[in-house]
Amino acid sequence: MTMPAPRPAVPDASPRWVVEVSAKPGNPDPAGAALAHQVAALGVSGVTEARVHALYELRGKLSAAQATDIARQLLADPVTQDFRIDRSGASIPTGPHWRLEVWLRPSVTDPVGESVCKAVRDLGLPEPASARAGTAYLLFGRLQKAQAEKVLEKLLANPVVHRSSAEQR
Amino acid sequence: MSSLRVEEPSVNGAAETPWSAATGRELTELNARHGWSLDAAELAAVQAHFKALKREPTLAEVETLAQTWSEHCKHKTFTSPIRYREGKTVKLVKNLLQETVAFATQKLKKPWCLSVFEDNAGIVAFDKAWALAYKAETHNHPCAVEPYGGAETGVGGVVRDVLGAGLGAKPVLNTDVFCFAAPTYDGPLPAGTLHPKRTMTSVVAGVRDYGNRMGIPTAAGGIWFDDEYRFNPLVFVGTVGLIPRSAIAKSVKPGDLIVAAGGRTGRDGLHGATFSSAALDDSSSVSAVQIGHAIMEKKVLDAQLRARDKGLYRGVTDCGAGGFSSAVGEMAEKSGKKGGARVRLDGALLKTTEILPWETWVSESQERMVFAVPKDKLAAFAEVFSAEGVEHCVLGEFTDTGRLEVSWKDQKLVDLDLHFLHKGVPRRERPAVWDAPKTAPKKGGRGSEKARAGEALRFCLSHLNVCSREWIIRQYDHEVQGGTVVKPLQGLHHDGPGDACVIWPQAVVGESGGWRGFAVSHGMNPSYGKLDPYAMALACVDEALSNLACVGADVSQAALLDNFCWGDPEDPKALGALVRCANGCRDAALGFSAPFISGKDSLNNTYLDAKGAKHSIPGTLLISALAPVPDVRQAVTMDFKTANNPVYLVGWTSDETGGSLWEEFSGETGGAVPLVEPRSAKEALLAVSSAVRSGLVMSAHDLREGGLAVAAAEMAFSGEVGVRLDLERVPRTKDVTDPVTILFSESPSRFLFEVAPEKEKAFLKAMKGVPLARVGQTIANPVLRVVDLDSRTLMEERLHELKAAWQRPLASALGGWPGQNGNGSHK
Repeated sequence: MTMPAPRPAVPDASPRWVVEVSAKPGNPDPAGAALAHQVAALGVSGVTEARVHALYELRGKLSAAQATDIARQLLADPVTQDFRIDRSGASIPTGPHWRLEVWLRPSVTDPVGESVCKAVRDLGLPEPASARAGTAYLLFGRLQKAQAEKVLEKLLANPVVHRSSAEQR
Repeated sequence: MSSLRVEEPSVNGAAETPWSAATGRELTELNARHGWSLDAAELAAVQAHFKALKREPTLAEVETLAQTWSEHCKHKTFTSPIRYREGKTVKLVKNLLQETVAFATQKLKKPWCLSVFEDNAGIVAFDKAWALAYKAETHNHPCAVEPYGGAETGVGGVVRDVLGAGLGAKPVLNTDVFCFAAPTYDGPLPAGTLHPKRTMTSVVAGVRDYGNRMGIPTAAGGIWFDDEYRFNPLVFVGTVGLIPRSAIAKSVKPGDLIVAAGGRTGRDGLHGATFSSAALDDSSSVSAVQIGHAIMEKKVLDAQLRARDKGLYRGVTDCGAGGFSSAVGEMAEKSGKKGGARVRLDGALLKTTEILPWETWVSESQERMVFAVPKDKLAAFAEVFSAEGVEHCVLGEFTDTGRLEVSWKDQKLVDLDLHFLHKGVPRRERPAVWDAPKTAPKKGGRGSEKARAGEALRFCLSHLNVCSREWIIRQYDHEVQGGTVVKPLQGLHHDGPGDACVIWPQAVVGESGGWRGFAVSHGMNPSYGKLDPYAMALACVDEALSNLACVGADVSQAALLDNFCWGDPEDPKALGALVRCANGCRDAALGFSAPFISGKDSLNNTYLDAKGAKHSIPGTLLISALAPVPDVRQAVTMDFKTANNPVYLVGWTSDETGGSLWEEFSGETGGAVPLVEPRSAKEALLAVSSAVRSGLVMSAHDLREGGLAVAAAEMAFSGEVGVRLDLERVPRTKDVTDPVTILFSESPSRFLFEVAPEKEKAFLKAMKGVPLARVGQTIANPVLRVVDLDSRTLMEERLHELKAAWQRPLASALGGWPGQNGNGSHK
């Protein structure tokens, strides 16, 4: 492999699918329970429930059916988990909540994303050009913006390696 | 050859100002902009070198020199002259490392030391066919900035050190030792500094995830809490590996191919060793901190060991600080008579196209190893690695030209004289000074305080530096590979504090190994170091070796690792303390006849606050110790086993409370720092080690922080067997006249044993000549009963209450103690 001449970074404009994986209703979400506990220990009160969803961003020329195949066969456990797939990254519909998303910065190695590519290849499915893994944290209950941001800053994201967002839904 | 131009206009100084014409100040500015961390003398040496060659250095050349000459790679402070004053004596230390730690090793000349201070890890004999490689490193700065990724890549790095030792050892144990501020710290913290609780939980998660995913047990370690670590947490990670004795020798021959295998190279991890707080800036395009990829490293490990056993490469080293530049530079030195390497970076496998050639050369992307592969072995090498799904690429070949030459396409990036690269760093003399602090041991004893003995005991047990580490230990898989014979948590309910872990590496050595195993332990006490770093060094070695003896290791074959973490070496006081600490290491190694086999230093653990004040960590020494356990079936744990057994105390108790928990509890100051007397300590240690191995004791524990009181309590509540101690019987020096001093003095080199009545005679025979006394016995009543010098009961504490006091603090501080504030533990 030869090294092409360096060029400045440009935003990746290739087609994108976002897969969001959550525990099926009635199944335990231990990571969510642990987060609710940590949020309380942080001194942020009013959170009645927390859920943690896995996010996968697949880029490349994949049809909806192909991306769904990847999600069904690889990313979600059909017995205990639900998944939803979307171009823009819309989440699984649920009641009003704060949605905190955390992704590794593009320059940071994403071992989970790399493993997804490898696993897709091993399954014989059409391989995405790239895969990145992220996490969505859903906080239910009474919560101010400043509190949601505090949770993000103090517990979930480190700007050195992560990009993150907080959004009320 | 043209100078490399860098894209960003803000860092193109190298191209605009020719080095030959630059003033010292301009060079210093250039140095700061690029984050090279070269000092003025080093910059001048680079300038003079290229002036003599009548050409300008390229950016890649300066980068290569900066990486190779960094403190991380060259240990400049430890190998440069130091003018050391202690009291009125002044001594010129020419090379601290050679005169202290390494001196002891050379003098002791142990035949079982197979490779010391020369490879990526120290290597000692295990049995006739196998050897143990051990290395411990720190990853402090990355963990301060991104604790999870920093800890992960720290573990990944030290595992690769062991893979890069000899022709590669198979990792069988990971160790982890941390220094943090208290998780309950509520003082001010500047922006960008993470709270110690978050640092700690994230570091633990990083160590856990990397070790667990690689399938290496994490079974030995420790934590020290002190709020002076709030800006600079310390994270020590270690790995022990097993290597066939035939695979220790490595070489590089001119003509061998330079082959990189493992992860691809990216911009992640540029200047990892030298990055500054500017890396926190969101606008920074370079990420110095990385996330580890444990699965990748596991694949590299599997492929490498297969290739090793097939003899497909001659030499190997890991890509650590400095990336290819350091790894290739290091191996090039060994090639032929003059050494040399010719590298063509076009061949490198890259993660991204957005990377400059010089960045490829110095990037510290993780999970990469560099091999010297004979040309005729390349095809077989490639087959083994691709079978494991590991990529590799040929970067060039080793030569005998005495030069390190690097090119990219038709562009020459580096053409450096190897001698200048490795020996050209200027040595600068630094001043160092140490003045003994004034001590004033308490006169007249502490008899008046005896009513508070129970309170003091609970204070000690619930002290963050003593309390249970179960919350952390349980996150690690310490059982994987199936050889953890003595586990980190011991006792009836597997929740008591073990002295050391014992590993039976049968999964690696197979039937041939019999019951032979090894034990690993640590010693650390920065509180003593604040008063006297010399005493700290002796105490650390004493602690580590005592721990080994307690579990049944043969301490006559104990090997030590040193890890110094210090503040600013330009501060004569800090440097003086470092010299004194290193002297302590030398005297301890000679005294105990236990050689150092490897070590590492991390200096400049300082923080400059907004007002310009410099905060330094307390000078911190970690001693890691390793010794064979001839028969793992004889290994002993620390918990009392049954009632009605005699309890013996070995060693003298003196009034030594300097830096102790008692001083912290009582507010006293000026106590003498516990000082090891190596000659008698060694005698006792060898006797203890032999008695334990001969199956003469049922339980063994050494006395450390909190003294006799804490050790007895720990043994009792871990085994749920009570104990009665008669203080009158405790062997003590004349200055000890009261029960409080007997219970809480931290005199070193002391042990508590539970001995079966039928073995008492044999035990006493084995311990002949060692100061000891029967100080009590185990009892059925689940209490710790202490009988005062006047034969009255001084205290009687219920074991379950003592245990709760010991178990609660850490879990509670982290929000995981059941019942606290009505919250349950994590489900």
